[in-house]
Amino acid sequence: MTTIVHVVNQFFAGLGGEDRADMPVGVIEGSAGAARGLQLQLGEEAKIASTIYYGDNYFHEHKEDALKAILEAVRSAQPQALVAGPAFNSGRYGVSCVEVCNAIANALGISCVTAMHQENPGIGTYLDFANTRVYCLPTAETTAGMNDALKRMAKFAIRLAHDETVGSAQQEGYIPRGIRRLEQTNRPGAERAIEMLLKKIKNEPFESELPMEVWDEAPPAPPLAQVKERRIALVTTSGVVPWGNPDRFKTYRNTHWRKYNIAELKELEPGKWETVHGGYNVAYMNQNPHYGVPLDALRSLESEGAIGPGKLYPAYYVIPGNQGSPAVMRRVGQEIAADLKKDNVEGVLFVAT
Amino acid sequence: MKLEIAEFPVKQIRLCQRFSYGNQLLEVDEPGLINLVLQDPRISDASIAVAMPGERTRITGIRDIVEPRHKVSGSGQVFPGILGPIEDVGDGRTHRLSGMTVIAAAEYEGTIRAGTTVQRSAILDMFGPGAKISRFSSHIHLVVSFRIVSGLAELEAHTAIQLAEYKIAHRLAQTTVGLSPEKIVTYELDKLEPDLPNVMLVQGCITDPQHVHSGVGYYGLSLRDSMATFLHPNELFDGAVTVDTTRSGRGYYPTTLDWQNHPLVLALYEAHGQSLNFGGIILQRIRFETYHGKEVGAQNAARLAHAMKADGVLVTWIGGGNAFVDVMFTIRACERKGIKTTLVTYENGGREGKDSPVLFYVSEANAVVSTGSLDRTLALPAMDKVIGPYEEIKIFPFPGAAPVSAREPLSLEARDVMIGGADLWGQGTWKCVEY
Repeated sequence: MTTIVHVVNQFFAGLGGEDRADMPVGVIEGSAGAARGLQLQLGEEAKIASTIYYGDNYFHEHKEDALKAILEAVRSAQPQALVAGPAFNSGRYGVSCVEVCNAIANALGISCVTAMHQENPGIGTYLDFANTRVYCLPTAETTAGMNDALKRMAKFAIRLAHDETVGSAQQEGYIPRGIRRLEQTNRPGAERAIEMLLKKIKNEPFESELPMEVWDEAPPAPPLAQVKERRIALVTTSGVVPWGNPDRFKTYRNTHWRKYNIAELKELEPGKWETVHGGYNVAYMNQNPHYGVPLDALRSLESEGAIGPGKLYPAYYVIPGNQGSPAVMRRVGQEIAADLKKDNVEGVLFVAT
Repeated sequence: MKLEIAEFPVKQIRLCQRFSYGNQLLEVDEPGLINLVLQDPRISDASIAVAMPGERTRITGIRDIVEPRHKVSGSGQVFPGILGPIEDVGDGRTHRLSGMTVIAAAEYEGTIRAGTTVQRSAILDMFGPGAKISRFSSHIHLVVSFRIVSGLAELEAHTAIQLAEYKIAHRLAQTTVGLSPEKIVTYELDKLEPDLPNVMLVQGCITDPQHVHSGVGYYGLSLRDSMATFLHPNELFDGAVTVDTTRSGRGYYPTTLDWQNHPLVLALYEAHGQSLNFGGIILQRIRFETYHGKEVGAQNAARLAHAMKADGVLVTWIGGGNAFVDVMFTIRACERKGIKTTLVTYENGGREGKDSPVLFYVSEANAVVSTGSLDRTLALPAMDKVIGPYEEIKIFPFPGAAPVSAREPLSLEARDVMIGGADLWGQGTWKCVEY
């Protein structure tokens, strides 16, 4: 018999509303609350071994404990698949469903399905995790869509439990996780392109093969007051490194950063530094590394008193930026920022190329 | 303008001491070809080998791939401005040897240590998973391996490599003079169907104007800070657009053969008079260094498309990084003029496909065809035979990269190290699908 576990919040477990949102994790044998509806849809094909519930607030205020308790409960039920939600437009519930699915999939290797409305904040968490074992189905905004959601979740859960191959988001109807896989089609790209363009010219519906992405906005930090009292560091994506490229940076798609000591140096001497970067002609930077690491200018600012004595950080940070993947660069930026913070750096001169 | 392409298929190449073509067999005068190459004092140690599909062979040091062609009528000669005089091409009759290529495989270390203009070479596997992803593994290759004399700067090295491969290819195609082809395909754009939409191709080209060869040659002249220009597709078939052989075939750079057989041009010709009128090509320089340059370049290309009365354009490109901003601006500029666009592009996306597939978006780019991702690792088995100048190769062109044995198993972190492993213009059937 195929076994499923259903995870719901206190409300859908039938244990109370907002006033009971502090309820810790609990387990009911078999199905209860909304899980009864799910069992109905599963029919004879699968059995809900247990229903795990928690208060919406409890989960977020005690996330680690909550996940641990849920993990134990799921482990002892030994299901082949897990269902969480549906959460509709309930934000706290939606996020928790995704968190539970992600934790269970990672710890136990069990495939999970959840469901919620497209605008639920849980979708953001779902996209961040992009877990290959977690699927989220779109639902209506409100519980008016309960039956439809449970029906689709039941079908999906049974397929996951049977370890069936799950196709693309478009084929299967789950919300795409931003995972793009290479596939072979039966028609060359050139033919598909002409067909798509002709449909567009004729105002017929067409489907793009690449969805638009929305980018993070990075608002500039407010200007530093009293710069000469601040500790200043230099960070660059120019790719200027010691000659010989000791840390083996590549000219593109780098994944690590380094810092190089400049404490004792007045300037960067040509021939002792070189530029590793695939995105521009590096000949000029090799002749004059100050284009990427303007130590000469910083030293004159120091002597003028614009940068306080000893306030220039003794090393500069570098990663060649060419073709950097946004996710890697976000991580690298965070690592560099943490390192700067640790050393009490207050301002950064960022030299991009 | 009317061009007849006469096809002479090659199924077998025999290295001997004479040139002839018949029954799909190409006989090649090996010493004759080597002498032809060694006439250039910049080249030493030339040798010739044949690589067949399915052989456990790895070809190293690949600088370019070209399809042998020869013009038997019409003005000019193939590769105008390089082999032939600077004269109109694209009219008359051109012979092609199909199913085979000439590969220029040269040892050259270059004078530039890193950057966009650093020399690089590619490999090709004729067997196994590497062969599976390359459009070139199904061809028969005449591989010309040679060494460039030391100390040559990039432009000199490029012209030496290019002249050698084009001369050889041209000589091979001349074996068909006076013979009747297996097939003739006629290419002309003059007949228009009044009810069909006018569709053009906007071909964006990354160029490095500060480099001695910008990366794209037009009648042998390298394109620099030019504005967009009109190109008749037949000019491409006769080799009016060429590459920088110290960098081609690797990453997002096409080979000469790709320009000679541009898949979007061929597909648009196929549809010409059936579902659309093919209005020709706009060759556009991209990767302007400033926002100002990117906007002017993009709007200029859109104005040209508008002046040519395009109803729609396929937009595609060669390049990476910020050149994609120029591409996206071009799409926006076209759409604002009422010209419908569809973009054909490769993706990145990282090893697992979880990262951003492309680097920049505009909301007008709502019709995109994916040709697959470059960022996929590839494990290659050991080969029985290595052809080419390098027994040891550098997978990455960065300073200090350690060379590895070309014969042993290789692990590539991206598909574009294998020549033909990146589908730039939708010739292949790969695409990325959202999961």
